[in-house]
Amino acid sequence: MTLAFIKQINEYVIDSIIEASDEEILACVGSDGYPSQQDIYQARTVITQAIKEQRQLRLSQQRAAFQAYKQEQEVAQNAPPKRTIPEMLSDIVAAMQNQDKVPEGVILAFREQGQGGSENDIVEIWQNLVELGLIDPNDTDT
Amino acid sequence: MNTMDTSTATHYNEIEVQDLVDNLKNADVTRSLQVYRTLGCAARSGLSEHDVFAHVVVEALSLKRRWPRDLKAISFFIKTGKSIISNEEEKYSRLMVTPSVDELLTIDDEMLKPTSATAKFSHASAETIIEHAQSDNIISIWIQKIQQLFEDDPQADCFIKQKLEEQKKSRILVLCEFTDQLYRNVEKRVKDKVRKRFPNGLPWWEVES
Repeated sequence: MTLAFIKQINEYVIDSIIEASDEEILACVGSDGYPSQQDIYQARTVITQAIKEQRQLRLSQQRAAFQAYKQEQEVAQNAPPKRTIPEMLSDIVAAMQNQDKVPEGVILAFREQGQGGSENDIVEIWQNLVELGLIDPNDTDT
Repeated sequence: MNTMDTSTATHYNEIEVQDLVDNLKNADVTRSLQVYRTLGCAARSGLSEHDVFAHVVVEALSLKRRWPRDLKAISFFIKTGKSIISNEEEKYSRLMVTPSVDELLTIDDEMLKPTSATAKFSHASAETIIEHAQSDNIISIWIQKIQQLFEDDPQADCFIKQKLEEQKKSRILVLCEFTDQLYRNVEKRVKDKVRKRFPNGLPWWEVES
């Protein structure tokens, strides 16, 4: 019962510490029972160091995320197309037939490139048309 | 809308917290350290006031403890510090009473005899009775010291006596013939005077059974 009273007294002490003005609190620094200037300096050092470490951590996380993004992009660019050769041929034909969008010179160039007709040529033409935006690699309707 | 958007509406974001912590006033640093000490951080949790302060800073910056926008810096530091001390106190007390496997293996017969902890199931040991008597004695001395502080202040003296009797504010107003304003004034006088006399509070944790 009386212990509760002692705990209440401590709560009063805490309230008084919080409610005292800044000037009053700073005037107590270094006096008996209060933190010293050295204590404040030590706490400030903790803040500076913690902020520095947090910023470094955030920077390294951002770098790692960017690196992962770059790698993902590279993998996506180098990955073999998910279309079969006949599907690619179909895409190429559809793109070539779209006279309104494809400049004349480009059609001629691809006709010459496709003379050999090997699978590698077809893949290369398909990828070039994708890069030019004339084929949507994600369009699986065709 | 994602959860991050929702929480940054009510809580400070990472950059804002960095700014708030970086600009913490020296007066608030002093208050925080003083309050952690008054809470008995070292004895209760094994953490010094500087350890608690560092925990609060790190947990605020990492957003482990979210800082509500409507909470002042000193309130955040005290609330979070109290929570950290309380959590650590729990771990600390488990650490103090849980024997390791090695300790259990090397236990001898003498140690298996009833201790003061197990003896209380039958009857109190002499050791326990002495401890209780000592605790009561210490608490009585503290109470005397507090009462002496207000010997020359009849209003505060009445306030303290009624608080000791665990009277509620409504009863104290009647018994001490206080108005609401006077109650607040007396309470403020009591708070300030006990802080000046006991800047680190009273170590109740040393006598808690």
